[in-house]
Amino acid sequence: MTMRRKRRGLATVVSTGILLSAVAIMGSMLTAWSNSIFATEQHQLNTVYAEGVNKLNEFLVIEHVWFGNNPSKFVNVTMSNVGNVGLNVTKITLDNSIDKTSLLVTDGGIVRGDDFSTEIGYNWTTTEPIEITVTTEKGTIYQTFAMGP
Amino acid sequence: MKHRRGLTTVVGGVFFLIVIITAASYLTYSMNLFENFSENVFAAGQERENRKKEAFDISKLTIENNKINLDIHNSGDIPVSFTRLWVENMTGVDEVYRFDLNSTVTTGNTVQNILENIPFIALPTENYKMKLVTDRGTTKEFSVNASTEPLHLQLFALPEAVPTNFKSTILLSVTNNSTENTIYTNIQPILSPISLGAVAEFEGPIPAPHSVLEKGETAIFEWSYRITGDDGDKIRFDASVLNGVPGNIVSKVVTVQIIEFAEESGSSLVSKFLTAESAPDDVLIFHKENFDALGERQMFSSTPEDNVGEIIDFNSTSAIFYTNTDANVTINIPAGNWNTILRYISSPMPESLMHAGLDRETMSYHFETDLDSPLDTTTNTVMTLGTGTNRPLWNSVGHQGAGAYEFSGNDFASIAINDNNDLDSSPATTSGWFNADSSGPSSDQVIYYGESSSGNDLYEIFLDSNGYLVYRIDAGNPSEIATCTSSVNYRDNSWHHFVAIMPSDNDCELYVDGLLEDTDIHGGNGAIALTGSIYIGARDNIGTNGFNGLIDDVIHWDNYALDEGTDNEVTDLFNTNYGVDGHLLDFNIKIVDEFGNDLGNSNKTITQTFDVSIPYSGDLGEYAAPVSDIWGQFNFSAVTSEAKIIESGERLMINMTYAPKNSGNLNMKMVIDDTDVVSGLGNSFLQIPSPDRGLPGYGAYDNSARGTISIFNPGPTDNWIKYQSRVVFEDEDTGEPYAAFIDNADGATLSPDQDSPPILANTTAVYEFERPRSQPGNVASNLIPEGRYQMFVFLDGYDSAGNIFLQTTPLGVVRVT
Repeated sequence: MTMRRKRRGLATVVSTGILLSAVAIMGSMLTAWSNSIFATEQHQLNTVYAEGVNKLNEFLVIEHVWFGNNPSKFVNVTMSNVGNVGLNVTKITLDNSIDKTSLLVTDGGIVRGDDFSTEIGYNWTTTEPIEITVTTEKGTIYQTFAMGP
Repeated sequence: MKHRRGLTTVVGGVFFLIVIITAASYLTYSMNLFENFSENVFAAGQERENRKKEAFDISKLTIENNKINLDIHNSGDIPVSFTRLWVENMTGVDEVYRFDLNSTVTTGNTVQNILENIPFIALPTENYKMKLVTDRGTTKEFSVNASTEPLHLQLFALPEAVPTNFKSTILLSVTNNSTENTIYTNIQPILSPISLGAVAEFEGPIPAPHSVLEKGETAIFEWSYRITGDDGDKIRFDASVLNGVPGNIVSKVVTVQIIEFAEESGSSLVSKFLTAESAPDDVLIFHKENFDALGERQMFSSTPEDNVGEIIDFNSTSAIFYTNTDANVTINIPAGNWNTILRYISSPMPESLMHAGLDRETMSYHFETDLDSPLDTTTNTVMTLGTGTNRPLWNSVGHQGAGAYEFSGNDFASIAINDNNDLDSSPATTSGWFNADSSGPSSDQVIYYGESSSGNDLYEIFLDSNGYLVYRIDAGNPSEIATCTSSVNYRDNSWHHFVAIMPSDNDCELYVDGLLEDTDIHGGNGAIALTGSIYIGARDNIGTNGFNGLIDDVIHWDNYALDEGTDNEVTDLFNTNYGVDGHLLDFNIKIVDEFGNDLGNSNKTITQTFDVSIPYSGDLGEYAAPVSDIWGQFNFSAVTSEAKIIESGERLMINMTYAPKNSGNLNMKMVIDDTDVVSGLGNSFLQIPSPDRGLPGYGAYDNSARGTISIFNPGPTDNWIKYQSRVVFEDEDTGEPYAAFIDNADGATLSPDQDSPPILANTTAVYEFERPRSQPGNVASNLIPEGRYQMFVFLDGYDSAGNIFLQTTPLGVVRVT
């Protein structure tokens, strides 16, 4: 009777330890997994939110377009940032169905309330309207049309 | 087993709790993000909404002194801040200017001269494209002095065939039918006459130029022309706009022609300005006759009968006109514009200064129009402006919204001296308004100057080196010099009024802005007799000590000293408005019962408007004896948003009552019912939205008897009427005509072999006509039944110059009883 009681006690402790370990390991894995999932989701959510809000608050106006001849034909485009956040103009495209020119802009950062002008060499005509497309770093596209005088 | 299960449950539970808390945190974080996002969406939406609410209009654009005067009206729901102006000179490409602005205009208000401080020289002959930008990114582009697209031009010559020496009108209609929403400003019309045998003298255009032409709007320019030539000679008028698109020209040919048919000549024996086409039911002429008009005057659609009109002096009476009443007719007048056209003239002086004889003003210049020789309303003196670089520049809204001359330091105007401005004995008074540039020189700047033949005697008013106003009377000897000096520097870009009084020789009193500034009393008998010329704006004809600024309303009394002590004449003159607010008039237009009583129904009121500002109009005529064609014109418009119904037995009434000012009150007179008033739109009248039928006139004919009409011949020729001249009655409802031959003229019978006796120039003849029938002259045909008819008179005749005429004159609605 005494021997049987001793063996059972040891097995109980061992089995309890195994069980506890198993539960702890599974629980830790589950917790780590769920935290990882949530962290990933949170990061994605943050990114989407930031992009969405910035796009929402970004507002560019193509304020004025004028045409010059000297020394060669060019188009001057002036843009104003009338939104609530700074923005970065990355590309300006001029397209009049005859000639298409894209200018990659590297210094197109415009703080809120400021404006940005650039001159683009372009063989404009007085008969073909030009589609002017401005793209910002966030991928927002602004368009207007103008025709040479 | 029981113990183990409990422990693992606890451990599992802890982990479960961790998972739940993590999920809840994530959910809360997501909700916060969503809330922030919603707030951003809302804010962005609000800003977009604000951009939509932002709206502004260009209310005025003129170019004066190479400066652009631009007024902007905020027509939106939120304040607008302008940040930028772009200007492109379209005459030479590459000339682009950018100006940063900082101007805000609140809702419903107008900011004036928004470009006042920008350093840009605008030439009236060059073509500019401008763009205004707001801080929200709204832009508005407009074209100045040019059209960038072909405009819709229409040219009208009224009439197109005229007798030689006839004076008539050319109208150029310019419609902005831009496909690019372009607004055109400062539109300047060009009219070029090209002789094809005939020659023309013309005046105009009015207005010149047109300030703002929005898309869809039309501007009308008017020229008055007089053509001379032989029968068949022509003249072509080519009209375009300055700096317009090449080829955007319209033409009209006018022919000199002996009058043969009324529809070709457009002239009329009885009425010079309204032909059958131009006296429709919606034009109610003010007539002098008062029978059946409740003791007031008649108003109906019929041209004036003669050149013996009536002048209504608003100082002594109100102008009240009634249409007739008709118990059987209801008239519907749709919603629309009700325009009252007044032909009037202003009193030259406020009431306290309306003196007679020697106490009257002897010289008075208000500069209401730009002329090389500006008009003296007294007609006593002649002013001549300097020429070339010495000519002052006219500013159309210089003072009190009306014309003034701007002197730039070497400009001048001279007035030949005669008994009306030579002083030669006291008393005398000189008054005027001046606006001195703050940037003017710190030296003498002369406003008014005269001297004697020896140059020893002087009479002058000037700003000294301190900007103080000085009135100096110098009779030659040191003891005979009176000098009055103000204590204020008036080089302040503001208008000030001066009254310089010489009550007696060697004495002076100087009032500025109605207040006594200085007196200098010497006594003695040092009379000054000026000779040569008075100079305005300088000391001589080369611009010495030239004035820098604006001068207006120069008035001189050569024999009278204004009395401020008893009659407040200085104060009255100071308060007199010789500009756009010359007079105040109350307009009351409504439908009343047959006795003129108010119907107590607000829907019967068209308008009741008090204190309508009427501009001063006195440059072209003498108030004491107004003659033809000196009348100014004022249009008062009221708009009804719902139809008005004149029920049977009711009348339409207009009551114009003068609202005198307490101080500086200028009276005004209106002319009515006079064929000699031909310029502009002719006589005084009320134009209403086109009614469904004519309002009752005052003519009536009893079909049981022969009829009578009177015809006036305004000359200059004598006229004869031939048999076949007739009266025609056209049934208002069915249009069915009835006619009758005029068969008796002043007692003489007309027949195929017998014309009328001559109707001498400026006389009236009485004609009789037989009872109108469906076939005139055929007694077997139907007699005209009772009812309402439009009545016309057709006259077939010839004049003492050998011309023949055939013309139609409408007499409006008459009742046949």
